[in-house]
Amino acid sequence: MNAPGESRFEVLLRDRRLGAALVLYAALALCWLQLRPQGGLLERDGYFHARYAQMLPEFGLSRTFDWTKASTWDGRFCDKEFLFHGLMVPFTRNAAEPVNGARVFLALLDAGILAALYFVLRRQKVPGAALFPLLLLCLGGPAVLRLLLIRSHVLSILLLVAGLGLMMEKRWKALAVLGFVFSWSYTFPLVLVMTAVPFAAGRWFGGGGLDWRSPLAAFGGVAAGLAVHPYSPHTMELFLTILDIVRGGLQGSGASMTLGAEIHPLSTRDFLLGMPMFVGLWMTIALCGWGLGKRVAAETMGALCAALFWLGMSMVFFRFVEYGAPLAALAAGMVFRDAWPGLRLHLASVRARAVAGGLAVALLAAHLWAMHYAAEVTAALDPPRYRGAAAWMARNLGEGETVVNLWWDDFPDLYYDGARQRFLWGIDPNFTQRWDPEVAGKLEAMRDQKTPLDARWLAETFHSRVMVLAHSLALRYPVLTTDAWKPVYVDASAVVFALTGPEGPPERMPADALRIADPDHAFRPTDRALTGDPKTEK
Amino acid sequence: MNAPAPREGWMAALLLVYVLLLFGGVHFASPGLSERDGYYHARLANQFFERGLSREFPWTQASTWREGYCDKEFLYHALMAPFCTNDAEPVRGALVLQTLLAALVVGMLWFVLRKQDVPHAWAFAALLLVMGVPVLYRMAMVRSHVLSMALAVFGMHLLYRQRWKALLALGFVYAWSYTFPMVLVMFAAPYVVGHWVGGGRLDWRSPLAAFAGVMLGLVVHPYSPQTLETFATILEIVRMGFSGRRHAELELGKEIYAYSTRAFLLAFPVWLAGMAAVTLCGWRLGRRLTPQAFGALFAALAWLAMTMTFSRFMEYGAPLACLAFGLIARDAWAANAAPQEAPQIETPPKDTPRRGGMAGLMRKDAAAAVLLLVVSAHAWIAYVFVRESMKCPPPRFRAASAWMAEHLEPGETVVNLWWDDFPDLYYDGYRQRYLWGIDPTFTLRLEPNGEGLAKLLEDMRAGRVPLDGAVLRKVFGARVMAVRKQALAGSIEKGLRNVRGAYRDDDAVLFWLQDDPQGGRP
Repeated sequence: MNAPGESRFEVLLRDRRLGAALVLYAALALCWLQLRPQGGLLERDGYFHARYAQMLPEFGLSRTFDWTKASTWDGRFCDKEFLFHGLMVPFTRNAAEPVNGARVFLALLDAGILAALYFVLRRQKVPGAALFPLLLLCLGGPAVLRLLLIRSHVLSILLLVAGLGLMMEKRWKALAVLGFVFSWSYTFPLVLVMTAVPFAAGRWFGGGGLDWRSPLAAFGGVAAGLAVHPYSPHTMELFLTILDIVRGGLQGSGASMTLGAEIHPLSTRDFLLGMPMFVGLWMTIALCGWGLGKRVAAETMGALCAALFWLGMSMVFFRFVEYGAPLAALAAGMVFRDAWPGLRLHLASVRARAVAGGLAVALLAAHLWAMHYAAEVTAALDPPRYRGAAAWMARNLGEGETVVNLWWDDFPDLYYDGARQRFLWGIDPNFTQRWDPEVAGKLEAMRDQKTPLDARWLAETFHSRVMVLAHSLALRYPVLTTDAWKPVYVDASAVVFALTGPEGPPERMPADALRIADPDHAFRPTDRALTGDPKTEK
Repeated sequence: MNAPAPREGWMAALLLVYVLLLFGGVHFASPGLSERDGYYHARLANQFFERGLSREFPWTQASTWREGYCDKEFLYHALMAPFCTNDAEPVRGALVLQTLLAALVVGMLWFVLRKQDVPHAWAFAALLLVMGVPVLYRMAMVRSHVLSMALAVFGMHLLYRQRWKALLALGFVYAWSYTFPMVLVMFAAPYVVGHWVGGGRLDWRSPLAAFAGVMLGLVVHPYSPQTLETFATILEIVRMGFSGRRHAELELGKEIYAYSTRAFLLAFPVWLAGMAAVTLCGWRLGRRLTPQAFGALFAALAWLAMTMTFSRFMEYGAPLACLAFGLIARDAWAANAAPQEAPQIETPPKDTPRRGGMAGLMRKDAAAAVLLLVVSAHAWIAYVFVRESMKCPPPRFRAASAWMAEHLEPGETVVNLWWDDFPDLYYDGYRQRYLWGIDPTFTLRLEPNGEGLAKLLEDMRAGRVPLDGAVLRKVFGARVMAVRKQALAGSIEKGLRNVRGAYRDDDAVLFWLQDDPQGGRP
């Protein structure tokens, strides 16, 4: 029922059923993206998380994760995302394919983020609160993709949104508890403190006084959570490793290790083209601030500052768009709340309606584009790469036998299907760097072809008989395509080489072994037993 | 709340003197130019009166300029010509003009801000010197975009005043002065849209007049109709740069590409912090801007996005930001603007003044802190600018050009494998002819086989195919190839065929192409 003088649009803004429907639509859209057949995972770490959660009841609180033998995890393991894995356990009971259940869990987390945004904004009496979770799906395809990854940052986004709700209400005790929970849930729980500080600064700038308790409570909670943790004191070791990763990411190409791509920034052009509505939203907020002549409340200023901070962080490390985007949506909601009394008067004019209409069309287009982008990128992904190779390993290697994985980012796929074996390194090379910098340097140099592959050193150092690589990566090593290295297993996605024995490469490379074979035929499908007896060649 | 006029005038004068000293000092102390194209402009200006309006530019034999030259910066060179009468070293005169132009940009900013009654207009004009090291570099270049910056800022003045007839005339002048005069239209369009969104009337005449003036200037031009071919080439450059793909595997100038977001943040911290501060202050103060200031902000944001797309557009984004900051400050300080009440939701803002006058004191403290930060930022920026400028090498092919004068015929073609060596070569070795320069797209567009020529040169330069002197000699009719010495490191030197060393110094190497049994002069 309309209040006197209320426009149809205002009625719609107040309609809670419509709001719930919008949030439901957004949640279903994300669920569809998450659960539709994709072939594989965009971010391979998800295989690690799915398998780890599946094994967690059996693994318990062990501090030895010996699936990565050349890593601090072998003896000083810390499950940096303990609660995330714990929450995933009920969904990953299927030992054959735990990743399917993991995707259901992530779909629920995604819905949780949207619900958290909605409820925080509704508590803050934002009219049309449901519009802003939907806004999150308009800010850019890359931001949507970050929500689809099977990784703990998705849980951290949900916790951060909840944390912002607590900051707005100055509920510092609850914030301390949240900080504690954050420490048990996510690799880098200081994200909460890094948000609380600019929020408090913004609140102070907005005339709301200096709320020093909230950031302090957040910090206290995080520190307490790291100290009182199932994996203490290894949590501290892990924290130092994370700082190493950040430092390496800032060094860029000067870093000693090649890190994951998410640590690096985009070009400004790609940032603009990939996230046009994210940039456009900030420009709109800036313009509206001076166009409407409204002051915002102190907590809104806090939300703006926190969101601006994460915009800056997204420019330093692109992955931080995972916080930049939802916080921008939240800040936009708060701004809308405070500006609405003046805005509703402006909307009476044709000009304002034209501008609003243009913005609405732009948002719709941005939403469709973001969804299309995310759908396209996740359309036909590689299935687990080492399924066949893992089966070969099970037939030919002893249980617990170590396999050399030259590329650390192959580990999740290997662990997923080949958990019977052990490997060298994975998830992040800095865990190996801290374990033994010299060994890490040698592995990296071989991986990067700065030094020749040394089968003997690999075999002796790691007591390993075989090395595994992705098929496409193996082709990058000319020496592997020569007669000196004869693969013992080859399928479309993986190649396994013997390091020792009759199938292994000779100690000295023959002079004519450096013929470079035709890359198209370098590795024919092969399945040979490790003893060197030829089995059926396909 | 305007500063007293005499003090404002003195501060502006001091600022201009500082700019003259900063850029003049750097120009005359540094051994060479940071942007080598300046050598081309200096030599061209030196030859201006002698060449007249010739449509031949034989110094680039494998380029559309050979027989279809268009001086896309005609007025700029005409302005420079009186300064470049020293045949031996015309660049000195060019640097004098460039110093004056840099001061003109800052002066024009001050003029426009002053005309808009911006208090302390000199401070907002001075902000241009704090926007980032790359902005100072761009202002220091001996290139026509610096003149374009001044014209564009003046164009904003005409837009503020809605003087569309003057804009038409400016558009015409722009088309005679700068490679891409559409910049004026690209300034006008977002300003007009912003002005309209901000409550002003839709000034459709101004962008239309700007466009008409530019088109008229391209059509009625000393180099018509080649102006249109040049315009098409520029659009091709933009398209290639935007796609990031390399046409014929050509590498374009760096300025066409974009920074990483991290490098962007580090290169322009004050600019970006200023935008963030504008965003927050808008919602803190509760003031509405005049349509003019709103339009200025809209244009500044649009050009920030343009700078994210092509880094070189900082040369417009930065001064537009200064204008926007100034107009916003003017409106925010306006005595008759009353702040709106913040919404009474849960926590009413505690914005009542603190104990007796402390609010005023705090604001002065904050202003002083901001001033200190800004001055420190400029000190750092200026230090880096000066330090890096001192590393710029002098003309690279001076001694090599003397050798060429001794051993080659006048007008004889020399292969320059690197197109960006051309300015240095043309500057000292204008007795000879070369293949390509200024932009490789002028070669790509050469009919009938420009693409093939560009690919050949680029493949050899990049080491994708062996560098074969016999092929170069046959295709281009040249006996000598000139190469920067640093460029010989790596794959290119390993792949040299049918070349023989002719000359070598610390900067340049010359090769005979295919053994000439007689060597030297025929």
